[in-house]
Amino acid sequence: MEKFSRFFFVGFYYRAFYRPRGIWDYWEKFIRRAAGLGSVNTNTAHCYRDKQYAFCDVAVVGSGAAGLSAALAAADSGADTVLIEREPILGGGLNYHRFDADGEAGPALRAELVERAEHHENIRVYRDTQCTGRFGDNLLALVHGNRMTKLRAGRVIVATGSIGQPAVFHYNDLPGITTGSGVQRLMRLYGVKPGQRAVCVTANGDGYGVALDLADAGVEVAAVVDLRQRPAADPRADAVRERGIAVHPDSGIVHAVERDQHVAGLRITRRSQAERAGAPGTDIECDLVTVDVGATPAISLIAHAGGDVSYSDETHGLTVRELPPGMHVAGSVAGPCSLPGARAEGEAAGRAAAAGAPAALPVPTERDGPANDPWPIFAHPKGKEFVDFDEDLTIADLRNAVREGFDSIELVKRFSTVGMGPSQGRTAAVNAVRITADQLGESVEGARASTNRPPAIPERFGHLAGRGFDPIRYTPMHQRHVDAGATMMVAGAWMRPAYYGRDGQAAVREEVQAVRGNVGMIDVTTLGGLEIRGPDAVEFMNRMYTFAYRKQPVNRSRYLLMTDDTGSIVDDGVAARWADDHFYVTATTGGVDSVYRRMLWWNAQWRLDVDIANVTAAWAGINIAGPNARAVIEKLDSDIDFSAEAFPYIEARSGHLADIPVRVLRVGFVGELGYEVHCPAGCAEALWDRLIEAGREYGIRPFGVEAQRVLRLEKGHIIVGQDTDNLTHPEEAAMGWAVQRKKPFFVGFPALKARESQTLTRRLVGFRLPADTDPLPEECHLVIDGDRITGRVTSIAYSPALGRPIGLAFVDPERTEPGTPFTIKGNGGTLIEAEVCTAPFYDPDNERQNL
Amino acid sequence: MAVTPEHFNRRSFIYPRLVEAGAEFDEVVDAAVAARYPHDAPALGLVDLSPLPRAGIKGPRALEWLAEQGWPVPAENNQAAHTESGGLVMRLGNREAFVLPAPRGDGETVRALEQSIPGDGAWHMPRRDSHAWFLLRGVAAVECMAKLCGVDLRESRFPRGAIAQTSVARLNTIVCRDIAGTTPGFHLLADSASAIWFWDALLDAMQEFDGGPLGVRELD
Repeated sequence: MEKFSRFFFVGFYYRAFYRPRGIWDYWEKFIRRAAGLGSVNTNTAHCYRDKQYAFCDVAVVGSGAAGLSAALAAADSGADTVLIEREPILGGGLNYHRFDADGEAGPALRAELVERAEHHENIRVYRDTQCTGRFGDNLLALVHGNRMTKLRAGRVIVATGSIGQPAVFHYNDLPGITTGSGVQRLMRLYGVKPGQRAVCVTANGDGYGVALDLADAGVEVAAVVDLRQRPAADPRADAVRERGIAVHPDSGIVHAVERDQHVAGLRITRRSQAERAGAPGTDIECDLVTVDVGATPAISLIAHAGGDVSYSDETHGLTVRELPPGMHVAGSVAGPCSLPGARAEGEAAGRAAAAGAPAALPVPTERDGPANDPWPIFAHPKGKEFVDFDEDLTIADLRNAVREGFDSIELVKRFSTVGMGPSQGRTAAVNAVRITADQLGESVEGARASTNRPPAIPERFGHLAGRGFDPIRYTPMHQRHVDAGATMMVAGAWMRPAYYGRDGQAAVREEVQAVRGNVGMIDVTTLGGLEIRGPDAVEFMNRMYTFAYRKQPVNRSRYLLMTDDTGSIVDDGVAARWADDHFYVTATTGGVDSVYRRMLWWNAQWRLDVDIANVTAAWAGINIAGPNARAVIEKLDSDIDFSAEAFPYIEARSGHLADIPVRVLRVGFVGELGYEVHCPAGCAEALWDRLIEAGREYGIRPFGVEAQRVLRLEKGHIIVGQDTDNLTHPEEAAMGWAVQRKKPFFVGFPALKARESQTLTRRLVGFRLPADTDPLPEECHLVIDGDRITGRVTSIAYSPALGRPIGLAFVDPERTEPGTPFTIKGNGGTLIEAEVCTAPFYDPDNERQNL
Repeated sequence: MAVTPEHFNRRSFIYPRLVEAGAEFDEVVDAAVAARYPHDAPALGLVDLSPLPRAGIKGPRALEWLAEQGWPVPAENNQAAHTESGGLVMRLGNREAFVLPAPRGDGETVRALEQSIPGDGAWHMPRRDSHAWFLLRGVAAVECMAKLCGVDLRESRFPRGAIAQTSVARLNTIVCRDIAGTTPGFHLLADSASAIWFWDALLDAMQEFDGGPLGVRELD
């Protein structure tokens, strides 16, 4: 690959595959395969993931010296504190970093702070938890195990520390070359001896600490290579010299030596000579090179919150310049920092956060900490000095990108993909910023890294999805339907019996016959229910619905049709009037919530003295219908007289049935003698049981939604939303009779008048088909006239009563005379001849429901 | 003879679940309430109080009328006050209140209240039928609720008697922190038609806290 690499310059793909047009689609799959991006395993086992909210006064992200100190100070001040640590144990750098010559400062402090934090009553600890993002108002996303916790924090203290940065030199991508803290973690946290013979490259005291750690672990330390001309005093450096380890100050790196695809040595020279072609130097054999040339603050959360982070010429690194509101920092995230400094800052931040005081931003240059080298970059005539290890980008790649005219880091990023790999620029951004500024000939002071957005690390879709919450509504008689073998269907949020049994066709036929010839009952609990009460109840009804309600007698029901602002039908139902100032209104199953919203919305403007209550779930309903309905209902104890004379069609009564409070409406949706019995939901199963018991001697049958659809279609009743659409106005739906035009106003009236002055473009009619039509057209099949679409089928079913298929359809308004033929375009383009006929199809004089 | 839910006209919205869990029932007022289960009381318990009476009153005169009847009406909205018998008067708004009896108190009083609501500006709301009533009780109640509800229910922010009319497991729910007892508890009042779904969702969320159904007789 190396031999070809000079052909794979930055931008190679953009240039090689953009012409001819469309060729990328061809090459893409080969390139992606060659890139080794892996593939998605679609057979991954599902697992239960969920989410949880959490709240706290102070959230501390990171549990190093600064984080622990901050959490303790906040908790001591009485704040409800959450401490978040990415690793399974608390302590951060205290667990592995060597702060002093004898290596005791870290563990000692850790023991003290962790012990306190873990037992503090005001601190909740989240271990093994990644804070992947900070969102508005200090909402933190915490991913741990199978859960995402959404933590709402009053204040956030970012104590996320810093990330060791690589040096850039020829072959710096060889295995065996790593950061100092990397090998310290391997040794201290994982018990791994990282090599046999090491060279420690450093630009501050930390590299000496690494050398001591390695020596303690039995690794031969060949040399400490210090990039500084005059290294500052550090007890760790003295300890290194005492152990007889060679120290090379003022050094530069010429290149790494490769053997068997692993580092085998490092060539060093005087720093000023390092970039000279063919520079002489000293080769040091080793199988491990550690690098401590500086660190960059882990600023993701600060950046998510809109904090200002830019390069500082004084600290030679990215530096937090301005904190977002509600956020504090402590420790090395604010710049190079010593251990006592981290503690002090943590404590100060913890106290300030708990008190709700303003955040203080430490001044990095006033702090004592491991320095950043300003330019740990050693160009080599043969290149291969990697800046971005994920994206294989070298110094030359970035310089070339700038030469191409991509003259800012954001553009360089997009062109070269620097920082777009899995490490998201954590190890590449600083050097990329330095090189870009250098190539531009600009000062690096104030330069910004590319934008940092959540998530800070990759998240699983499962974490984002969590557990699904999709409430299902059951009627109180649900268990009875299930026990009776009902096939259930979804109706809005509800489950309803479609029919009883498994053979739909036979069940529907028998259920329809039971209602027409005997008696059946259907659970109509899902119908919406609204109470309209108050002195202005009538006025309110008159404004909301198209009909007139002022003269509606008490204890009588009346049809309801609701139109919206545009005069289009949005709902229908029945209103029973219980008192001058009290209407009980039903609405469609799917429409009631929007009807209720509309009512509240309108009355917020009208300010009528009326109370509107949605009582849908409180009232269950059973419609018992059929020639024997009265005989069955009269078997139950009641204070209501169900005789035809005392309780005729369209009347409504309230009272008791079988000791259960009921509201009974004589309605005719299915076109037979029937009672729609409404009762409190808690008593509905008992009432259902009593009616089934009473009906047993008549062979009463429960019927489902499918049978009801056939029954109502035989009566020519529309279903709003099925036989109407969002633009259907009453005249189109042949519902003009339900509009009271003498009223001054109802919602939709002005629009309706305007629309009715236009030519009608369609009209809903009943139609029938020959008995042997097969297959039947379906709902939404088009009604055509030659090459013109004139309408569509809205409902169709085989009518057992008529012995032929019937339906409702929109047709040309000029062709609505009964007997007029029209054409339906069925499946596969078959043309089916239908005939307009009058609805109701069955019992046109409505004699049966008036019994 | 053992008390069974089906012996009564009024039944809990979720009684098949309670029977399935082996509940033993007590007769309370006019229905059967799950009194105990064939296992030790769980650390986090879910009590079905749905069969108990409760009264909703709504309208411009609702609060005034309730106070006239001698019920303690809270001074502010979204606050509950303790009644003499240990029940709660929840003030949901300037025009609406919701009265609960104590889980083991006198439901008859609340039932009588419900039947005496006059109308005419203080209208009856069928809360016993529109809302299922569960009590989630246990030390882990706050943490468990945090899996289902976005409101900060820590006691420092949501003290005893505080009410949130919010969403729990995507269901419109009235949440009220219990006033009585030492164990944290939340009264949850939500759509009765979704009660089975809600009960299942709550038990699912309670699992990690060793939660389970709890009977009224197991309340201290």
